[in-house]
Amino acid sequence: MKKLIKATIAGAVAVNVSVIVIAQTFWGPEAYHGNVGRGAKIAAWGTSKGVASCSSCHGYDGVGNGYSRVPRLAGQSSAYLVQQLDNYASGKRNNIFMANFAQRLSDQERADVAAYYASLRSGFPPPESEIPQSVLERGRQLANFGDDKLTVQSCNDCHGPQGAGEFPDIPALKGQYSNYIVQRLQQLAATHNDADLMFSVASDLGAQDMQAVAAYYEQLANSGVH
Amino acid sequence: MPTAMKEVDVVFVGFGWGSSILAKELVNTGLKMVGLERGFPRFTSPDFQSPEIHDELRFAVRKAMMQDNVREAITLRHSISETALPVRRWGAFLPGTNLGGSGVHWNGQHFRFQEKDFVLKTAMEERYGKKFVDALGLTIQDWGVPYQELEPYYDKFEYLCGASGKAGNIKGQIQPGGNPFEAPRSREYPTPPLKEQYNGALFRKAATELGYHPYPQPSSNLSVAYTNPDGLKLKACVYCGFCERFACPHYAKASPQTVTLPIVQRSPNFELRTQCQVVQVNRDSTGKKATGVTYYDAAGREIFQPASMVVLSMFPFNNVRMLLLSKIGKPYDPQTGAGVVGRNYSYQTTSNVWSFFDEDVNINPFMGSGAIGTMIDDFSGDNFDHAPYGFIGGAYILAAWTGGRPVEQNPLPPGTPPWGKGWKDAVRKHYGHVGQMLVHGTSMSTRENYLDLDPTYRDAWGLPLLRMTFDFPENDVRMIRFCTDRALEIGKAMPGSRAVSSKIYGQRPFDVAIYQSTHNAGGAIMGTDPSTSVVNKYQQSWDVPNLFVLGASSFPQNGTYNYTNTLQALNLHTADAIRNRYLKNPGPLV
Repeated sequence: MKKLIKATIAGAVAVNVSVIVIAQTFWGPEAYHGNVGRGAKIAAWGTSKGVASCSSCHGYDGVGNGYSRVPRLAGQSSAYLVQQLDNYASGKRNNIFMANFAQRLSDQERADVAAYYASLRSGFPPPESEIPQSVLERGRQLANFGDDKLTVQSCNDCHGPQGAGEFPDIPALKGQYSNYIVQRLQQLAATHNDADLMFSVASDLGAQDMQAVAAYYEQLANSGVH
Repeated sequence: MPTAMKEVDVVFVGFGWGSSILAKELVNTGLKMVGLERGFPRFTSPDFQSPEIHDELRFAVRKAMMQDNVREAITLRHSISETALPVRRWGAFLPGTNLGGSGVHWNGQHFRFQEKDFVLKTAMEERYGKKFVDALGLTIQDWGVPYQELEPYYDKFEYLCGASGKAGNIKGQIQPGGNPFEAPRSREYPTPPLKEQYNGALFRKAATELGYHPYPQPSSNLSVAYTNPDGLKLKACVYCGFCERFACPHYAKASPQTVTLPIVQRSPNFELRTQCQVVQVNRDSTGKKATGVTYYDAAGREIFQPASMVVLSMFPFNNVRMLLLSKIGKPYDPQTGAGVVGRNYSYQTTSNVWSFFDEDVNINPFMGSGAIGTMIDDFSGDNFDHAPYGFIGGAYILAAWTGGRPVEQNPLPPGTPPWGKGWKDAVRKHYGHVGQMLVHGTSMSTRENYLDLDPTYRDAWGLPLLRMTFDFPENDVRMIRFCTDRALEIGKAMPGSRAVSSKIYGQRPFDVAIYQSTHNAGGAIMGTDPSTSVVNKYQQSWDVPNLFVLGASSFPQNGTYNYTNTLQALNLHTADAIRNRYLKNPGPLV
């Protein structure tokens, strides 16, 4: 995202070093604020450059589609949404549909549409099926305390209490579709990137634990198991 | 009469870094082992998880992970003519308690000592002459073990921890990007350095311009996920800025919980007993053989645990105190200079330097880690000629923010009001716009600085507290002033620096209320001569050969660096000697 990078460079004294420097980033409001009105238009109509309307899959209300593993975007961190669009566009996150759209969105359009979906406070659909209490309990444990045997920390360590997200960087999990969370964990486990914390977390979770923690977060927005 | 337990082969007193690594090394010998820990058990999951673990008030300010000094304090005086008083709140140093000990709340600063540190007296006399060294009035001595003998154990501990860093000297070959002053190591660090902070990048620029040799601080907060030689997994650091005084929730910091306890606890031959307060090492009628230890359990029952081998591995203060309480070894007498237990207590000599930047320079200190610094060793140890200065030793200069915690991590320029609107305005103006340097240096032992039992004050079990008699030696005061001046020069040269300030902790009188370093050392030191040391180079008691005393209490004086790696190298060296030689033929190893 060019705007952000510009802000970074402008704020930093040029330092010529051979090691990676944690970017001196100024997370000022203008750095990632798009225009909600313009974003709504992109969401509804797409763009003239061949970007289909986001709403055709994610919904104009940003609720997504659990059956098709289309994630909920409503209320998500706008900075996170922009980052994912950047990752799709660059190929860092591999998804042929989203890469096609993201590459055709300008930096400003990415910020706008992210701002639109971040601004939504849509309701949460009920889970598709009843989840056994034992599965939810396992998910609750992983989410809140982790598992020492697996060397997996609690998800909430970074994703915040009840998976509400630690914005701007870390996305909300609360109310996200479980099948999307599972798919995403599987993708992360396959990246084999030791420098990415989510690789090492996801690769230490078995299939059942992925299901359990995903089911727990999905039902959090609706029900009683906290 | 105390209840007697079933005899075991090894009993460990205190279950932190030292005990757990020795127990891990002995896990395949078939020995029956019992670990006695005065505190509670605790593990990364569920005990170290957020948000509870990031409670600055509880852990950093009120020091929830530290020895309970309502029950067990130490007393302090600055000279033998004073009356010592109890230290009722920890300040200058923070001895840990509970399972894992101080290895849980450490910063993960993973240094080796230098070659000359282990032969300090010889090396100083060789370079500067006996007259020069004698005039300093120190009681420094050689360790009795050379660096080369410890190198494989340093290497082993670094690979167990997955330490992140950049080698500067591999088998004598200087490596670009690393520390050219370091002692030769046999191979590269297991994982690459952490990302550099902006504070460190500015420091790197200034230090390079001044002709120094900046390098990334070695860290046991890992830059990438890592599986160690024992098959244990560590994760990558997320730069949350809560290492020091806290436990790592992310499995990213090497600690007993991540690299030793999982192996030990799997063993059917090991038993951990927590809330056990050991009060004495018992001996047979000859006095030359330990028979076990006596402790009080959580219910207050007095228990005798017989054992063929006793390992003391507590915080250095408590190792020394246990020897004194058990009347093992001759207590040191500062009047005559005779006796050994309590002799050569040393500390760490430190200062801080701050650079204040304009508000458009964003240091972002909250993106921190316990060992994320950029640093120089140009003034460490004996890396410069001391002949003109009249002192020995030195300090590293390290630019780092271990975090940006709101209560404790916001230094303000000199002259800022300590409270009220002026203070608040200054916090708003400066938070996130300050560069920080730590100057962290050697501590030399002297005749006057020592440890013994307090004649007046007692702990909750009615036993005398340990008494510390300490003030900074003139040698160390000169050293830290010299090195702080060098850091101030760097601070002024950092791009955008508007003002600098410093706070020297290494000055008389020693201020126990302000945090300086938890690297207390000595008191049960190692050496080659029983008249000037408590243990031999395998940390085995000269007087009681089936008693081992592990940890920094073995250091004859303290080196430039944070000492965990060095004491663990000593412990692994000891473990090898026990496994390969002592078990076949129990008795003196030297």
